[in-house]
Amino acid sequence: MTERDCYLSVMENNGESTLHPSPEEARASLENVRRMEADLADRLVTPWWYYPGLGLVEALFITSMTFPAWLGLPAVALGLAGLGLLVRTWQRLTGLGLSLQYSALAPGWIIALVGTYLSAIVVVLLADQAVVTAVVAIVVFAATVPLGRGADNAMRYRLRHGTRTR
Amino acid sequence: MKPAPSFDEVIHAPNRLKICALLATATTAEFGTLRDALGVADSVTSKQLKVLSEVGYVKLSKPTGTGGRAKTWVTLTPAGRRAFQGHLAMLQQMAADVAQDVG
Repeated sequence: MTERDCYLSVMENNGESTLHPSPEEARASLENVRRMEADLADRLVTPWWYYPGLGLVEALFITSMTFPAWLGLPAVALGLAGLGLLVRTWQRLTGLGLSLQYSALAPGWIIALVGTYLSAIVVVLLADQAVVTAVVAIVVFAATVPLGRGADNAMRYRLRHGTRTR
Repeated sequence: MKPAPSFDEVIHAPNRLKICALLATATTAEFGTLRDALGVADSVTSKQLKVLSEVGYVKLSKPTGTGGRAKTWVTLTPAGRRAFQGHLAMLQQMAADVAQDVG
């Protein structure tokens, strides 16, 4: 008798599985995991205002780099408060946490988002001109919306088509 | 690094497997979200979460100070994530055995 022949069916007693499942039951369990990921994809619906809001916060952070200290610090504090409000509202609406695990589902989009922001900071520091800062802030705001929505779509696609079960 | 396949009896029960599957990506979810995703009653969800919590796979928290009725949030712990990944690897190994047999 092979080891596989020795697999015994799962007996659920008060929700407790006590023995190893058969291979067919393993496949059924994987299907359950796939369904939950598809369900999660349906729940990851970002409100329309989220990425414009995030873009505004990023633009505020970038422009605050050229502000005098007495104005820059309150601007950063305002941006952080806005960021906290965005995240808390998103969590309240979706009933989900904002997890770093999501970024692994759409790495290219996340790298583009973060890369755009970091590049903007470098440009502002090198140029050190108000006009350049204003243009860069507008570009970051404009880029955040499509990149963020692209990341969302990529995450949902990955979840609907299985991230772990294939 | 891919986790070593390891059957986990606690996680294997269908509803607990589903909870871990959702939390493996979301990390944190509100109790009502998990209940709706499972399609079961509050009491069933609560019972499954209690089992996962007792072995340290999830952590329950009820943030206060936000006004209104405090909601319970469930977070997958690092131990829970490792156990889920190991269990999933075991399931995939078993399913692959079936595929080879059929082929």
